[in-house]
Amino acid sequence: MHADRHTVALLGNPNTGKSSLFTALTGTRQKIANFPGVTVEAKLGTAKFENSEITIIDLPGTYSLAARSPDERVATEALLGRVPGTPRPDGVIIVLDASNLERNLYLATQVLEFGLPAVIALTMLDVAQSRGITIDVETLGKQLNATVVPVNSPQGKGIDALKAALHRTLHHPGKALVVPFADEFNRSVDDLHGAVCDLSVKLGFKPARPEALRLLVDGAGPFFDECEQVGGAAFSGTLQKLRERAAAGRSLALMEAQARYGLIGGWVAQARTSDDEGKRTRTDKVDAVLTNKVWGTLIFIVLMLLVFQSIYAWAGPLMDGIEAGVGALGGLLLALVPNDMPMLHSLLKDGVIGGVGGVLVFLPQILILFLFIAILEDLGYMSRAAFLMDRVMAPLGLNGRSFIPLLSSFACAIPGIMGTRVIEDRNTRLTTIFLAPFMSCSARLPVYTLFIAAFVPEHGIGPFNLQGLVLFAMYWVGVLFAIPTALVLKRGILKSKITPFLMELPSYKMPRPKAVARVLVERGGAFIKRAGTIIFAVAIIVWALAWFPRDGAILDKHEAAIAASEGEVAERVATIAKDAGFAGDDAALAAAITDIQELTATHEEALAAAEKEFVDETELEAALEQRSAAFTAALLELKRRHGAAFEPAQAIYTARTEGDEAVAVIEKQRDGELLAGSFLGMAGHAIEPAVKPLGWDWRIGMAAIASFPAREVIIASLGTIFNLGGEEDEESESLRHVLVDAKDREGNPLFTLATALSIMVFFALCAQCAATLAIMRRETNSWKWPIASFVYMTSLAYMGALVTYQVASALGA
Amino acid sequence: MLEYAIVATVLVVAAVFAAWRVWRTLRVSQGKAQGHDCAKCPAAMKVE
Amino acid sequence: MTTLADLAVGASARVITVTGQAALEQRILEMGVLPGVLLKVVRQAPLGDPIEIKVMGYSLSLRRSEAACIEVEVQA
Repeated sequence: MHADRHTVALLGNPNTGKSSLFTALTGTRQKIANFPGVTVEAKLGTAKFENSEITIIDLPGTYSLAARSPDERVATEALLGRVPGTPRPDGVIIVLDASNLERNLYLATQVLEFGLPAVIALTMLDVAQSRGITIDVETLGKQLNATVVPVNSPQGKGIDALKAALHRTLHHPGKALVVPFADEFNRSVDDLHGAVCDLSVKLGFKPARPEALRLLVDGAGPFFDECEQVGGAAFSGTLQKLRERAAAGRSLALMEAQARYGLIGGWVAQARTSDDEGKRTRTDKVDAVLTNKVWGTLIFIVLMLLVFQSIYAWAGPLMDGIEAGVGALGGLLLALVPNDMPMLHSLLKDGVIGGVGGVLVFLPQILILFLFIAILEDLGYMSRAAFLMDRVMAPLGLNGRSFIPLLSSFACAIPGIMGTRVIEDRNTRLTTIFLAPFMSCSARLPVYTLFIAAFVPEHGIGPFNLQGLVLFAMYWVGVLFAIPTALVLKRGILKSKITPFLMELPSYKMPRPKAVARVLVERGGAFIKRAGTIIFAVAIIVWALAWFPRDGAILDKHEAAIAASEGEVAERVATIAKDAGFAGDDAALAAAITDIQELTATHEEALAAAEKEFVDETELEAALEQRSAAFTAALLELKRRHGAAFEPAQAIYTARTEGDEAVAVIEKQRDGELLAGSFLGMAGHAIEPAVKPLGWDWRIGMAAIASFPAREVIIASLGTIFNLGGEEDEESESLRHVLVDAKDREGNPLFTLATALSIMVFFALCAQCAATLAIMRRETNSWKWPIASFVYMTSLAYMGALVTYQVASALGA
Repeated sequence: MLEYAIVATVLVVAAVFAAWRVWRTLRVSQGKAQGHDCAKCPAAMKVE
Repeated sequence: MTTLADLAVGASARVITVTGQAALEQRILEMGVLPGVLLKVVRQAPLGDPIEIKVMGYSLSLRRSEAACIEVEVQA
C-alpha cells in the first residue's frame, strides 16, 4: 500500500502556542529546515495520520507577511515552495489565539489569499474562557471557509481532530479568500501582477497575486529589490505609477489595514461573544506588580541576582558528585594501562580524564542557568524584561529588540548574533552584533566559577556572599565596556534614526514542565556532546603540545639523579642493617619492615577518612588524637613482637620513605623542566614578557593561548598543564586545589586574588571564540567586522587585565 | 611500540577532527554550509 | 492635536490618524492600531518610556516617540 504524502506549512503570530502545537503534531521527529541566506529558524517534522504522512514546516512566528527583510520574506517563499531543499506545501495550518482573535486573523487573511487548502487551529481557548470570551467555532469556520479545530497542545486535545481535518482538506482544492479592497486598488494589483509576471523568466519563478499586492503596498523590501534588479527603471516607474493610482492621495498601508480589519470586524462580531469589557485579567494583575516602577525594577534585579546566586548554591553538591564520578571512572580506566606505558598513562590521565572531566563538572551550572531561562521564557517574562529595559537601551541607540539578542548572548553569543535579524535597522543590528560577544556567555561561566571558588573568600555580605557578588560583577564587566563601545559606534560610523519598537506583551502562562525539561535535555545533551567532541580533541592536542618534544637530555639528567638518590638510600639501608648486626636479606628484619609499612599505611588511611568524616573542628581533632594514640600503641606492640629487629627496621623504613620523597621531588623537577621545554612551554615563555604585567606566568600565558579557539578549553588546559607540571600529583585533588597550591619560580603562590581577577577580566573581554567570529563574518557578510571585533576585544581584554592586576595588587589583594 | 601506536592514532584522530571543525567553521563563515544548529546549541535561547 | 504620547496612564482614547515613516506607519496599522479603534494606556515602564497600551484585547508596548505618530481623541 502506498502511503499518502503531504506537506503543510504551519503559520501564526508569535506567542500563540504554535511551537507546542508543532511538537504535539510531530513528536520528537524534528529537524531544522535549511533556509539558505536567512537565519530565522524553521523546523521540519512529520505527523502520521492513518496511512498518510504529513510533513509539517514550522515557519517563524510573524504578525504579517509584509516583508522588509529577507527573514520576513522567507515565510512567503516557503509558502510558495520556492526554498530549495524544502518541499512545497499542499496546504496550511493557521494558528489563531482565541484570546486575541482580531490581530491573529490579520495574518490569516493574508495567508488565505494564497488559496492553499487551510485548516485553522484555535489555541488558548482556556485563556479566552477565563476572560469570558466564547467563540462559535462553526460560524468562524464558515466565514473563513475553512475547518476550525480547537486544540490544547499541552493536554494533547484536538490534535487528532486537527490531523483528520487536515487529511480531509488536503484532498480538496482551496479557494482563495477575497478581501474587499477598493476597485481601483484591486485593478492596480492585477496590473502590477501582470507586470511582474512579465518578469517571470528573468526572476526564475512566476510571482503569485498576493506577492503583487505586497509589492504594491510595501513598495520596498527584498522582493522589490529582486524585481528592480531584473526589471530596472522601467519596473520602478510602473510600480510608482500604479502605487499613485491605487492610493489616490491616501496611504496604501492604511487602505490595506482598514480593508482587512473591516472584514475581520464583521467576522468577529458574529463568531465571538464576550463579557470581557474592562475586566482586569490575571495578566493585568500580575503586570501591575512585575512592571511596576518600584516593585518591577526590584523584582527584575533580585531575579537576576537570584539566578547567579543559585548557580552557586545549588550546583555545588552536584558538581562534587560529578567530580567524584569522573575520578572513579578515571581510576578504573588507568588501572587497565600497563605500568611500562607512561606516555599512554599521561595521555589518559592528564589529557582525557583531566580535560573532559574538568569541563563536565560545569554541567550542573549550565543546567541551572537554562532552567531559569526556560522558565522565564515560558512564563512570558522575557518581553517584560525588554519593556523594562528599552529606556536603558535607547540612549545607546539600541532598542528593546536588541535587548533580547543581547540577553541571550549571556548564554551564547552565537544565537544572540543570529537573533539580531529581528532588528530592522542595519546599523542598530550591526551595533548589536558587535556588542553580543561582550556579554558573558556560559562558556565564561566555568572560568569564573573555577577562579572564584579557588581564590575569592566566602564572606557573607548581607544576604549574599562575596563569591556570588564577584560573579555578578564579572557579568557586569562586559556590559560596562559594551556601553561606551555602543555609544562610539552609534554616534560615529553606525549612525541611524531611531527604529520602531512595537512589541506585544503576551499573556503570562504557567511554565509547562515538559517544555522546560525539553530545553534542559537538549542543552545539557549538546553541552555533553561538545565536551565529548571538540573539547575532547583540543584537550588531547593540548596534552600533546605539552608532552612533546620531550628532550632526552632532561630525561637522562634526572634519571641519573634518581639513580644516584636510589643508590644512596640502598647504601644507607645496608649500613643500618650492618650496624645492627643483621644480614641485608634477614627475614626477621624484612618482616618487621613490612609490618611497619602496613601499619603506617593503615594509619594514614584512617587519618584521611577522619578528615572526610568530621567537618566540625573539635570533633575532628578528637578523632585524630584518638587515632594517633591507637597508632602509637600498635607501634609499641610491634616493637615488643619484633624485639631487636624493630629499631633498625624503623630506621630503614624512614630512610626508604625519605628516598621516595627525594625521588618524587626530582620527578617533579623533571616534569616541570619537560613542560617548560615542550612546544606549549616554548610558546608560553615567548609571551611571558607580555603577560608578566598582568600577573601571569608562562603557564597561564600558554593556557590563554590554548583557549583562543574556544574559551572554555582553558579549564581543560589548566588541568593538563598543572598536572603535567607536577605541581600536585594526587588524583583526588580537584583542579581548584591544584591551582591554589601552584607556586611560581620563587616558591610563592602563583595565583593570588589579583591574578585570579586579572584572568577573569581577561576572559570576560577577550574574543576567544572562533565560532562567534565565523558567525559574525556570515551575518555581516564581511571580514571587516570579525577582525575589528577580535582586535578590539583582545586589546581591551589585555588592558582590562593589566589595570585589574595593577590596581588589585596595589590594594594588597 | 604498542604504546606509540595507540598514542599516535589518538593524536591523529584528534588533529583530523579539529582540522575538520576549523574547515567547517570557515565554510560556514563563507555561507557554503549550514552553520550553527540553533536547536542543538547548548546556549541557544529561542528568539521569536 | 492630541497624540497617544500625551495621554496619562489610565486614559482611554479613539485613534484618529496614524502618521510617520512608511515602515513605522505600516507596523502600527498591522498591530491593530488604526483609525476608529479604541485603546487605553495601561502603564508606562519604570523609566517613563516605553508605554503599554491595551488595544483589540491585547497588550502592546511602544515608545513615546512612536506613540506621538498616533493622533487620538480622548474618551470620557
